Amino acid sequence: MAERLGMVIDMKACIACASCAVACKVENNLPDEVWWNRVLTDGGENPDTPAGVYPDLTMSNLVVACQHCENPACVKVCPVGATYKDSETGVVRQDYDKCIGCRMCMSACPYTGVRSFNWEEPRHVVGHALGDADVPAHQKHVVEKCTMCWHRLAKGLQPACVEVCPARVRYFGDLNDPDSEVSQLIRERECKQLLPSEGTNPSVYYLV
Amino acid sequence: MSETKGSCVGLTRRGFLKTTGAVAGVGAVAGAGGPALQALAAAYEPGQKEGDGEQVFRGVCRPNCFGFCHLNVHVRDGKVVKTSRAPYNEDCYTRICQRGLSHVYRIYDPERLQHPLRRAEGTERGAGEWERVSWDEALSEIAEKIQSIQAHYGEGAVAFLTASGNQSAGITSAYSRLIALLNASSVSACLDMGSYYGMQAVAGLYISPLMGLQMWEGNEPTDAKNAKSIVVWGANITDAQVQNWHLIKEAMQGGTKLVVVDPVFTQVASKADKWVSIRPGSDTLLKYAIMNVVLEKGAQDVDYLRQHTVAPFLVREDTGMFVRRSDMGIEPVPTGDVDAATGREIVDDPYMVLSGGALVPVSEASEPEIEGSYDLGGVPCRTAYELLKEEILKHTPEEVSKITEVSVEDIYELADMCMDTPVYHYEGYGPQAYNNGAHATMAGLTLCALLGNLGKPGASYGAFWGVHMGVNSVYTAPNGPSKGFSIPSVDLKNVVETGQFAGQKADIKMLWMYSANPLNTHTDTHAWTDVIIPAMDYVVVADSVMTDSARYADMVLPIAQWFELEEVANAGQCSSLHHNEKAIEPLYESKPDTQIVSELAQKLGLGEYFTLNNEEILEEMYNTDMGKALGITMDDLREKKQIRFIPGDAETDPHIAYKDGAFGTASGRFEFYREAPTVRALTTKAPTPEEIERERMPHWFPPLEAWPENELYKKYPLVLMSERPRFRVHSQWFSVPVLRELDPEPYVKINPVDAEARGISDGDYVECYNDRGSAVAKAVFSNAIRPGVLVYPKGWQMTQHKAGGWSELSSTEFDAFAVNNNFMDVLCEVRVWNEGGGR
Amino acid sequence: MSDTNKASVAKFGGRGLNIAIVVAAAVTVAGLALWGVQLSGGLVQTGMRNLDSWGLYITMFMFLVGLSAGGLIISSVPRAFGMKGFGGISKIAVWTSVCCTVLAVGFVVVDLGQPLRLWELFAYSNLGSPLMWDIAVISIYLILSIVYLWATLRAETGKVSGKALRVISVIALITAVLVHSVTAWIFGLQQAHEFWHTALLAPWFVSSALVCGTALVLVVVIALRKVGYLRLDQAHVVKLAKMLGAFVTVDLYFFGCDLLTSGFPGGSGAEVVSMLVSGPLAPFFWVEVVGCVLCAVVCFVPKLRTNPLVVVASLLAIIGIFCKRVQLLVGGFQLPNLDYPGLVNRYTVTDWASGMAGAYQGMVYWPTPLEFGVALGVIGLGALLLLLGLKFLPLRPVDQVRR
Repeated sequence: MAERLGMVIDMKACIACASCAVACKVENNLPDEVWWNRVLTDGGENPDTPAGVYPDLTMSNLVVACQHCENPACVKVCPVGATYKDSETGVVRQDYDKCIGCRMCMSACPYTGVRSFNWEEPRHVVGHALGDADVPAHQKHVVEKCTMCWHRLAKGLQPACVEVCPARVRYFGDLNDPDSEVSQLIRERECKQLLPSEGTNPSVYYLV
Repeated sequence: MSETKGSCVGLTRRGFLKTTGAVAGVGAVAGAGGPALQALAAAYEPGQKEGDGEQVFRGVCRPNCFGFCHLNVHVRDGKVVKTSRAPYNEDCYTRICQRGLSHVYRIYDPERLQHPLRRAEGTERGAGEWERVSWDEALSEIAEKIQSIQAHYGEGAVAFLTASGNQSAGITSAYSRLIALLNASSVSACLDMGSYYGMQAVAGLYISPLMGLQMWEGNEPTDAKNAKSIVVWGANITDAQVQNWHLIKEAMQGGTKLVVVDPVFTQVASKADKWVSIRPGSDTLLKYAIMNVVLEKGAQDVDYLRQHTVAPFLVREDTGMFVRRSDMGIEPVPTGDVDAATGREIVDDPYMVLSGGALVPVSEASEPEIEGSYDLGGVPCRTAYELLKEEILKHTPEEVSKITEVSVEDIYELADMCMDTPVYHYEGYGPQAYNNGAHATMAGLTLCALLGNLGKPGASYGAFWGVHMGVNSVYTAPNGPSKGFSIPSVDLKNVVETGQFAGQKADIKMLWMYSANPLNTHTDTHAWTDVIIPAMDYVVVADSVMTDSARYADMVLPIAQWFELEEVANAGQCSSLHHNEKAIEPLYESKPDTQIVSELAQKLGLGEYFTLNNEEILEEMYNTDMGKALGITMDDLREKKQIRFIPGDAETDPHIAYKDGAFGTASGRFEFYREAPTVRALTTKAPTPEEIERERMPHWFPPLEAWPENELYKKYPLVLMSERPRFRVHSQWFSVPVLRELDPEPYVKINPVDAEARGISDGDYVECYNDRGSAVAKAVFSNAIRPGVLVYPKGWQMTQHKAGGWSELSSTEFDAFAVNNNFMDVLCEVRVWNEGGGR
Repeated sequence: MSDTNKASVAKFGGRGLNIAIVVAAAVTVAGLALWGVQLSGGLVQTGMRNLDSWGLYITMFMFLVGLSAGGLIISSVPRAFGMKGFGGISKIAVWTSVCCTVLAVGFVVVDLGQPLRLWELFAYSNLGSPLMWDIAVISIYLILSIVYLWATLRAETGKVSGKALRVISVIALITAVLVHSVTAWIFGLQQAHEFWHTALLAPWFVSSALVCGTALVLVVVIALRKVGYLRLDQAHVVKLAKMLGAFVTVDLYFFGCDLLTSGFPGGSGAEVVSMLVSGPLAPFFWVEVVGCVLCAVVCFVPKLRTNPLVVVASLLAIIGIFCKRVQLLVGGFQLPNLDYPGLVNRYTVTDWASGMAGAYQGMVYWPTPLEFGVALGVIGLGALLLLLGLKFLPLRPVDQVRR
């Protein structure tokens, strides 16, 4: 049986430190102002603010990147197959060289903002390529997104965001393997998926 | 993540995060171990470098967030390409955070200083106009200035100021050596010293057998899991000390409760089982109220008080001193031992306690009375415990509730949790950032002593931070310690204004700042820009970026960044020595501090003392007999990368503070009552008799400024609090591009109620001001902020503000005993900023 | 045919047309230059961003696909069903269809980030993508339109049998319906946007296409009659106007159905309704509704069916449908699925400076001048095609030409 690589993120303990976002940025040599992995606040109108009136307050965080859906909306609509699901791992991938820049996938993806288009020639404030040597160069006018750190998987490593999380709230593994840590967590703890009504069956689960 | 909340418009349509059945089938059958991933990994050999020609060096992140995390510094083609998490010897400390991950942007920051800069001739200090000079020119000029100023005004006229920018052995020893040889003065930072002073006042100092000085003593954070509850007192853990959060989280997962006491609904408060909102600056009172409940319920640990505190000691009403045997007319008996510190012979004059109505030496009383009084030849004496009790009984939950604005129910609930020991009290630096702050620490420790909640697994009070005292004190002071002044930074303004210090003439005329940015991260920027700096004939700053302080210098020296030299980081929460390898050559013309000092020394005629290069200095520091005996030579460090300087093991045997009731105080006991309060540091200010009396025990007294009864409150009704933010440590990382994308400009958090009362809209630029200064920042509406309070994230440089700067608003007023920066003892008002004047 | 008519017909195609052709060509060239600017400097120069990743171009694409319908349907329906036609305007109608289709394709092309990779559409076709379906159907539609036009011309000279023409017209009609349905499915099959995700979208696109297609034909033929390119019995105009009225009514009916279905449960759909009725898209909503109602009134009240009013009604219908397209496109992005505040920068959303909440205060998207310029250029190309067709192709009603 093919793998379904996925992530479990414990939102009860996520502190919105943005380490995942920064690790993703450096590891993948992301252009300036491009973020594949973002921290959102479920609270007030501004980031990092609670809902409610002092002192009756609640606040929680939500870290969002590509959900690597089992039934990805983006893959269906891409006219040239530039975004596709890897059959071995279930990772939703993006071929920069193929992408025609129609942004059909961005529109089709229910997870607002996880796909990022390079609206201009990618700029890098640091003059040399950062992160892993094996990440493909970024191109103007193509769509990109979280790759589940494909280049790291190939080396037997976890995605960068999982490794660095100082709160240790990210877990990675094969959702199709009932003995994997991620499968156990999903079985044992209350968990949610983002927008389940969209029918995409994300491979990212949130413990709540 | 419930679906009920949400000021977010239209949250309802989201159907967000609907629970999938927790037992949803995740695939019944599976091949073990992930074949596809294994196939992918097959081509990759473990240990292989990640890319062609990629090298990995060990780096230590050392900004004094307390973490000192170990990093892999990845280098390709001679350039750092990333930093990643490196394995720490104790896995619980293997970690990295958003700041540690951004180093590559910090190293190659376009703002990085590239060559020595001299203030352009004819321009004012701070004008920001510079001319590039060569190292030779720069160091020659500095040497000439040092010599002429010392010749003119005395050796102590040249002062060096440092803080926590780079806590490492190489830099520290090189500068110390130079300072000692020059007999120059030192300006010491007064950062978070209220907490330090309060702790050592009542509990003394602990120095480990491995020469670790635990300046902020407490149980190692890995011990928190052993507590029934963790009480966080004003600590912004999830932002300022991200590295510790997982330990709290893991404790919670094991059933430990988390309580957060903070005026602000912080991220960590949002995670807590209970959040107690408190009026800023009133923590001491709350602790007293809890002690009041403890007594009410009879929950005090009498045995602990009797054995390990000064509770049974008798206090003379006339002198405030403890009764000793000599008070009964028995002469002290010489022991023949000499106190190494004072050089005086130690005499035996035991403390006397009440036992069965009679006075006996403490060692002879198995169960001394902790309550009672005694008439010592007409001098009334009472036990120290009675004095404490009297103080505790003054503060009923009802009275305290009115002032702290913590409800009586909350006080009782909190007290119940505190009484259900062991409790791990995690103290932050919020409560001590007021003029009365040291007493919050003293009271907290006293509460723990009252409950016997010290010295055991899970039972602790404090922050946790140690520094290694080194193994070669000769290197740092080859001809003995410097004869210059040692001036606390909060007092520098007074010294400059009066020209006096410690009863001597003190003409400080030159200031050299390294690993520090006092104009920004210390209080009262105007004290620096308007008084201290103008009084200087010459100002030197060594730094890697143009800080506020550097901007006011006459000469700015570009230093090598952390991974551009070998170092031994020697402080932090892991209480270890950490080896940092040199990963790349210093960029541009920058040089390691050690090299700068050595090259300057040649020009000062001190070349003979500075013949060692950076690596050799480190070897000189650690390759001593003591180093060999302790197992911490440079070879050991280079091999092991990290060596604890306190006993134990973070995971299996975490450090327990005050184990077995041992305290580094004069009496060896916990001194909630002190017979001879001493100031933390000598200043121009002498404590008043009232202050001395006050200082004998933890006492509640209002903050100096930030208090409603202050007359100034009518004019400035907002308490200006700060937070140690997620994206900087003090002012470090202020210009790092990747973090500025996440956090682009200064802002101030304000409760919408306070904002709307002033006509301020969310996102407006507002001016926060008082009589001392102002800062302009973007208003961010946040209900996390207590009405009547503003909160700003620290560390923005003045050049990053539209106008002003945060430290303009704070003052250099300080408590004579704690000698601390009163960061949050500040009142202000806020209004919409009107660019270009027109107030 | 009278002399005056002959004179006016003869007059057409003179200097005025040539000037118009030159102007259209100039606009086209300017548009191409602006497109070059867009490609070299990047799409960052447009108003489109990650959270509103389509804009004016795709709006125009939707709109023009709709416009293209009318001509073909009007000319093919009578033929397909063996009814009496509209007085020989079918060739012009088809030519406008062809021009609009080319325009629609043009708008997709200028929207692409990597137009040089267009060939991949044929090399790596993902036949599961509605966009791919649309590309296929539009290509077929375009080819069929041209074939149909050619066949009509040939039929006029007797070289193609009426039966063959009828077969072609049936196929063309089916394709036309498909084009609108498939274009609708590009949007309607996206579950990510509640506003789009409705089964009604395809028939609704067909009805909207009929509305603006018919209206466009009306405007064009009345204008051409006015300038003397052709003659047309007023009866045909009336017939067309009645049809327009019927289509507009159906379209409004669909809209009503959609609003009711969305709004009635009072849940998330109510948000869509309020966004349209009183939210940031209200101006476009009300222009559409009022415009279409007025159009229907003119079309149905015999007294009001004067030529100027019919033109006004037609224009109102076209504007109304354009407003509909704007509502659809912007409205699709106006309600993000994840609107939690977080990092927002200049790539995130058009009006990013005041954060997530601020970005959605007004319309989430608004085009930049460059987009208007490029759009104008594409329209220039369409106009150029139309005018060239009028000048060089034998599109006039055959009876009028032959005399």
